[in-house]
Amino acid sequence: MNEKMKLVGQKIKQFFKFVYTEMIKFPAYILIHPLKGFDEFKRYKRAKLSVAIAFAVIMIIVNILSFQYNGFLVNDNDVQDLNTFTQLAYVVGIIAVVTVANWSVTTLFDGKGNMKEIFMMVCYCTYPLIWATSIGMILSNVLAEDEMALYTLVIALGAFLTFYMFFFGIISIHEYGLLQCVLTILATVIAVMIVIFACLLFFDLFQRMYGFVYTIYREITLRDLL
Amino acid sequence: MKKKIRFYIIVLLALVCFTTPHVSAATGYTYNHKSEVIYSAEGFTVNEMPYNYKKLGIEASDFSSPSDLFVFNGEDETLIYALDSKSNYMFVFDENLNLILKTNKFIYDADTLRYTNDDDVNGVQAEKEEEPEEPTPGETTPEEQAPGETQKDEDTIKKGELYLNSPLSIHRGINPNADKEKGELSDLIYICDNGNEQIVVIDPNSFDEEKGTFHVYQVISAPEEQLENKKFSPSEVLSDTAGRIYVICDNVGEGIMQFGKDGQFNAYVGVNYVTLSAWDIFWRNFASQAQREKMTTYHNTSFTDMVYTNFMIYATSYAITDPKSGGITNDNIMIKKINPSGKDVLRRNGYSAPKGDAKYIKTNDGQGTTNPSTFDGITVNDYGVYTVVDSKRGRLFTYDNEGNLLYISGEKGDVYTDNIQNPVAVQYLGETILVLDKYYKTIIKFEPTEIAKIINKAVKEEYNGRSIREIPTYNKNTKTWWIGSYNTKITDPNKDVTEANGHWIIGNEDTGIETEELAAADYWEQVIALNANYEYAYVGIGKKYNELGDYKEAMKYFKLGADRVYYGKAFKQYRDALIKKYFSAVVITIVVVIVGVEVLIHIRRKKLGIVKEEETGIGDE
Repeated sequence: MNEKMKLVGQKIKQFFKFVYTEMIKFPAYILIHPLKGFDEFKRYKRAKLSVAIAFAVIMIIVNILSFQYNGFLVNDNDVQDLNTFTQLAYVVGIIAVVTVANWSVTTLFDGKGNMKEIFMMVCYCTYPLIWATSIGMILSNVLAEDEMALYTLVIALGAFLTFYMFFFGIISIHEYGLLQCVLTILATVIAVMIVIFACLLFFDLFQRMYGFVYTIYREITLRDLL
Repeated sequence: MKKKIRFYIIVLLALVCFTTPHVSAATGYTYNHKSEVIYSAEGFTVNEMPYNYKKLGIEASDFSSPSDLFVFNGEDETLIYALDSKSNYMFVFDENLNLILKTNKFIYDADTLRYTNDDDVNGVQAEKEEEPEEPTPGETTPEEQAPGETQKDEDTIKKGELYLNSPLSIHRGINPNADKEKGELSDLIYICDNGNEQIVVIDPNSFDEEKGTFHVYQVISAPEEQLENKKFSPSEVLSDTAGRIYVICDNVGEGIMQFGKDGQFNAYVGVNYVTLSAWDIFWRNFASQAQREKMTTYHNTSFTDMVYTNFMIYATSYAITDPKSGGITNDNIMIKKINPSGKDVLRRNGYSAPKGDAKYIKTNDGQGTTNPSTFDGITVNDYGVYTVVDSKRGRLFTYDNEGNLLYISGEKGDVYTDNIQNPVAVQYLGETILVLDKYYKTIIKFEPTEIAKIINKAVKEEYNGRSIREIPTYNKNTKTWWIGSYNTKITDPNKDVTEANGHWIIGNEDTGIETEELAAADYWEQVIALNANYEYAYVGIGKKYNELGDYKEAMKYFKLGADRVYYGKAFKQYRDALIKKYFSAVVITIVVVIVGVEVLIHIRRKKLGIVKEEETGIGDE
């Protein structure tokens, strides 16, 4: 019994150690030493898919929390409008679209990264954003209106660092030079737009199809009533 | 069988459960802080049949195309003036809409006219040829003659009667600064004589019992230089307390025309200044002269109505549209409050700018009931509350001085008595509102509902600066409760103090505090009791708690009222109080904890160190 307890305790300790090293220490290391960090990320396979997915999940949760608990001064959301599915789709959608777009561009541009690595890189890039959103959530409940510049600063810093990580991530993962990286990012943006356009087109077509079928269905049912 | 019955019961229950209550058309609505439509009580209702010609006591043919209504609040009488653009009659009613007199002609005497070039006057007929049935303005008028040209004597009639020709607007204004020594009058009636292309000014105190009409005081003719051969068709007129005359012309897009009291054109006021965006300026740098000319940056303002109160002109116009596509570009400046120097100073502090319906379908053709409200009338009461009438959807929108939407009433249609079809004028008569409907040819009397009466009281108190009741102070010497402030010069509190010193005694030892007049916050609480969805009232209640120092409660109410500015102020006070209260405690705790931990580590290290020393000591030995 005692030994079992010890074992469980050890497991818990191990888990927290894993969380600390992999989810806090390593991404922070990447932020401070982006080239070295992403080198370890790719070459020494420090990155883990589980951690990447965990980051995406945390991002979703933080987004939902900030929707509801951001201070009233910066938050004009109505809790009644909160839709967890939308928040989920928002985060997952952006990650998926960026991953696919970047992969499709870099395969053309001779990138060395594969889809899994790109996905993990994008997920790791949410690290600063998660911190910024969480800290912003606390700050917005403490700061007065004329001090809200601090809140804006934190959020902007988070967004900037996310982009910074993404930039170096692309350089390291695809083994690019600076110019090539910039070009790839521009191409990725265009690819994202194309993907979104295709999605919209698809949805529109689908809606029309649905509308057509529904109209026929209604027409028939109404006729039956007569 | 049993199963079937059970099934029917369930179906029946389901039907009952899913029945939605039918909402009648008379139910009012309002906009919440997100500009979403929510149900709300109407502000004005009609409690009696609209006043048609029969009820007003006039001939049907005389009231076939009513064009304007004006309520004059004099010192000892309230008069209602009405015009009809077909029969050309001017009607005067008392405050209960009983007819006092009607006339369609005015006594004209060129010798007594002031500031008028009698050559330019139209619509005058000599006294001999009296044909009141068919006024023929064109015959005797020198219409298309430049002012400089010489004129034949027989064309100008020096004495006679001036017949109105499709008058569109009437205004009676008082100018306390009139130069009485020069024979100027301080009290005048202005009529837009649209068909005769002039503004007729008459003296309201010159009633001629014999002829049953008034004397013409002045005639303002077309400002030829400004119009550049365009027709002068005034549709609205008013005068300010300096005697200046403001005219809205249908075909003049520059703004409201301002005339001096001598009838000379001064300036345009209420002009929409063109603002270029950074993008426009960027493109303008590359455009050639010809291209620049093609770029239409001229924003047309066509004003529709105006009213003068407290040195300010409140004017309504249509939304600004893009001349190329016809799309709406700016709907926030449809209502303007023009100060004496011609600038728009309307407060737009509400949830959305005062623009009638805040949500509408945008189209480029503007047909039907799409696009923003089209205001055809505005009226202001004496504490800054103004009501505009939307002829597109037949609604009355009432705003307070700060631009908060108070209530919406009326509806287009032909079923209910509060339906408005084609409003041409709207006027406050005390707390009630008179709407002149050209389609029904009636004057509709809108009376405030219970909730609107309370809202009005609350707004009035806020306008006067009494958002909360004062907290009474007890005077031990006189044993009275008092509010206000002692005059600083009175050092002896036993001395009899009067109201003049800003000191009101509102109760003594025996009676306790006697009821004081309710303030705005008290009325807002009553409003909430009647309609908990009335968001703006929460702000009023929040202000009360804010002033009493209960910032937490104030924050709660400001949040309900979605007022971030006041919420921020209350929040800061609340947070600073918390910091003040707990700062020392928190700091002391932190210091104690840190010191304690340090001490503990020190003790432990010392213990370990002793052990180590012993160990090392043993090793050394």
